[in-house]
Amino acid sequence: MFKLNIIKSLTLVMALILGGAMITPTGLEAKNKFIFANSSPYDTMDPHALYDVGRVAYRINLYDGLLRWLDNPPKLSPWLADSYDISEDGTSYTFHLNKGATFHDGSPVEASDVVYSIERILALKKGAYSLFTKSVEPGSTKVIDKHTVQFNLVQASSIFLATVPAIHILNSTLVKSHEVDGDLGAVWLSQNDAGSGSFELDRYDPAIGFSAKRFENHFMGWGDKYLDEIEFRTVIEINSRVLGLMNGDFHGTDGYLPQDQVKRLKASDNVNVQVEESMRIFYVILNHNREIMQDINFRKALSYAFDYDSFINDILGGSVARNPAPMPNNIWGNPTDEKGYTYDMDKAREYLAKVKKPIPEFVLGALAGYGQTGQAAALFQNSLTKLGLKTRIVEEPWSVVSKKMRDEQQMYDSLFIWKSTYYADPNNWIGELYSCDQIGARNNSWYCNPEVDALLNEARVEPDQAKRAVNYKKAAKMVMDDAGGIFVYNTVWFGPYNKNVKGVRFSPIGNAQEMRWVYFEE
Amino acid sequence: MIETIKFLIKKLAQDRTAAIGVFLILSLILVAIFAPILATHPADITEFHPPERLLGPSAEHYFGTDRMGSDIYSRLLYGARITIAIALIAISVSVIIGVPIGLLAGYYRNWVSDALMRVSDIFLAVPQIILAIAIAQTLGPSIQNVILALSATYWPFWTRLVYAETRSALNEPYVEASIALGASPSRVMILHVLPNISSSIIVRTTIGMGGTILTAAALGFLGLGPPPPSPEWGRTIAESREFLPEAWWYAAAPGIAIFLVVMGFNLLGDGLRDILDPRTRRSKGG
Repeated sequence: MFKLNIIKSLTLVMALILGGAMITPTGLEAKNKFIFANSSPYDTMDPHALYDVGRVAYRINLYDGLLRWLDNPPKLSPWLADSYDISEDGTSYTFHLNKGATFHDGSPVEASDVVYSIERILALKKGAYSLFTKSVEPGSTKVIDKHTVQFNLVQASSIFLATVPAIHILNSTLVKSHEVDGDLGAVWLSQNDAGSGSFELDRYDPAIGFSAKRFENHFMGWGDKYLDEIEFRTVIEINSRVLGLMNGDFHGTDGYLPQDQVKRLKASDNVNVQVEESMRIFYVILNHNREIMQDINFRKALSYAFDYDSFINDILGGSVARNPAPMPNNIWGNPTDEKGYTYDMDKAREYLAKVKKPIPEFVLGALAGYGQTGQAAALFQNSLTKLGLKTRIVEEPWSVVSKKMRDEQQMYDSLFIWKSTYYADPNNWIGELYSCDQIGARNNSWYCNPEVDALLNEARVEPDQAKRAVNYKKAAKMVMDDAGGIFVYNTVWFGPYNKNVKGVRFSPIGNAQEMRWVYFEE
Repeated sequence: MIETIKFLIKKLAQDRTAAIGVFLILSLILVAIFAPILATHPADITEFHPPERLLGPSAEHYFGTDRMGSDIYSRLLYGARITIAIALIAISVSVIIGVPIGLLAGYYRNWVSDALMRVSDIFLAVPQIILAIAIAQTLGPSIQNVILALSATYWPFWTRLVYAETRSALNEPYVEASIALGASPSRVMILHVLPNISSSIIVRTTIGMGGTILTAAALGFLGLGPPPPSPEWGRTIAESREFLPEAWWYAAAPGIAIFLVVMGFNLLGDGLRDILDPRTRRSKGG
């Protein structure tokens, strides 16, 4: 009996040791898997269906573009295209593709795939589509040879090149084989991968997120340090993301967390917080459609009534920089010498006294789930109440807000929001937000000033950056003098990563979510 | 009537748990009435002091300060007013709608009565909080809409209860006697049936207050309650999430307040049921 027990115990110990030995290798393998906790759910894997910041990871990790924005300040770098030529009149762009590039299924990346991809974007009318409506006509892009492709623009455009990274190249043969009733493979591609990117889709579940394995044959090759697997998991609650990072369950999450959470992360032994000045301005859209908002005195009163200092220093703990113009301080063409508005209740009263029409109650819109917008709205309401104005705060989720923003009738009287970087060009901000022809699309304030519009249109076709900068400076000053919106701050990115994570390359476009540079250090 | 109240008070005083319930509810009512006197920073309902945000509990701020630097204690007191107003009005409306429908449906046995009961069944079939969210979301966030959403979803509970009680009361000899004496249906319903089923209605109403407060707080938490800067309790908890666990007082203060008030109504409801309804009386060991 006693002996039997000893034998039993020995077997148990052996089993434990063996079991442990067998678990260890898998444990090592798992160590090279990076888990990112993402705030927005991935509802599609189609790179042409979306063009947002919250879900950029699948586009830049599974797919490649001809060019790519890298680093901070962002630099437009060759990617699938080794080089490009621009015709003298600025309407024809010829890209020379990398000859070694292949898709995940092994077939080569060719000019016909580029043509198929841009035609698909234009036909689907989704995602980055609006960037190309004015410049690229369907059918105008030509295959010169297997590795040369030519874009023929309607007119010269100084922003076309900046937007080329948004054209993610699809494996046209693969997508075509999955087309159903001329849907351009939309159904199939929403769950599958037809890219050439650094990672290859492994699993995707809209409720959980996606994971991808390293694509060994990526045309750029790999150094000796890399990740074998990446996973982008949807974790909506901020606290869960922060706790998971502190426990080591997640290795990274978004860099725009509330400052109180950043403080918590900085104090954790498991986490490193990387800091970079981003290009993401926080501002108030004023709805110029409303009768009262058409009065410049009213808009100026509002601009003087926001307590910029208190918001930046008290509520955000000084973690951001005041940004008085309708574009980030750190992009060329911004009016550096303009100080903008300050918090001055006397001046606000002065301007308010000049408003002749009765002032109705008006709505301050904020994004539910983004506490900062609510706090900004509350702070604004505080001073507006002191001025004797009646306001109502409406907080709604992004899905609701993004629809209302595009509707003349449903748009809030004012809305606290960010404008991120989609491409590093002043047109990304002032050019889209205050152009007359972007009204209802990216201009959600219904602001249309012919003089500003002329400057912006001219800058959009002028090839010389120095000349464009003059236009943007002038236009920005005019929008500011006009109190076209209330411009508050430019964001600093606080990227929280597990302390073993190295090689993160931040760029305001993509917010450091391109994982091919990242690795774990033992 | 005075005799009944005296009896109730005497009985409640003997029942310790019910007495705690009464104490909690009285405290809530007093707090709501005297909020302007009790509050240390009454201006903080609409005014903010960002430099003083997220301070812990202290002699200056009993329950600390919130994300805008306002005094949580003062806001909590004013929040009690909103809570009471929402619960009282919503419950009154539910009783006013639910009780007559239940009486009519219970008294008559025809297709109208069937139709009324099926409608209330439909309302009861949908989870109450889901229906309330749908109504509040459609109408937009405000106190009035929360009250409307709660009333619209709560009345069938009274209809069901009154219907069943009326059906059983109709078999009682005193009702049969009054019908035999030629009393009109309305006389029978109002003078004979209603007073005899009132104890069930009172118990249901008291317990219902607790449930309503909880649902109202849930709507506030989801951002469907009164808009900011309202000091509504549910909204305060929603705001506080971002600052947990560091600023624990921010969520704890309104959380405990909701807990105590709901518990107060439930304890009182249980106590009243024991006193008014001998059939379900708990055995008190003697």
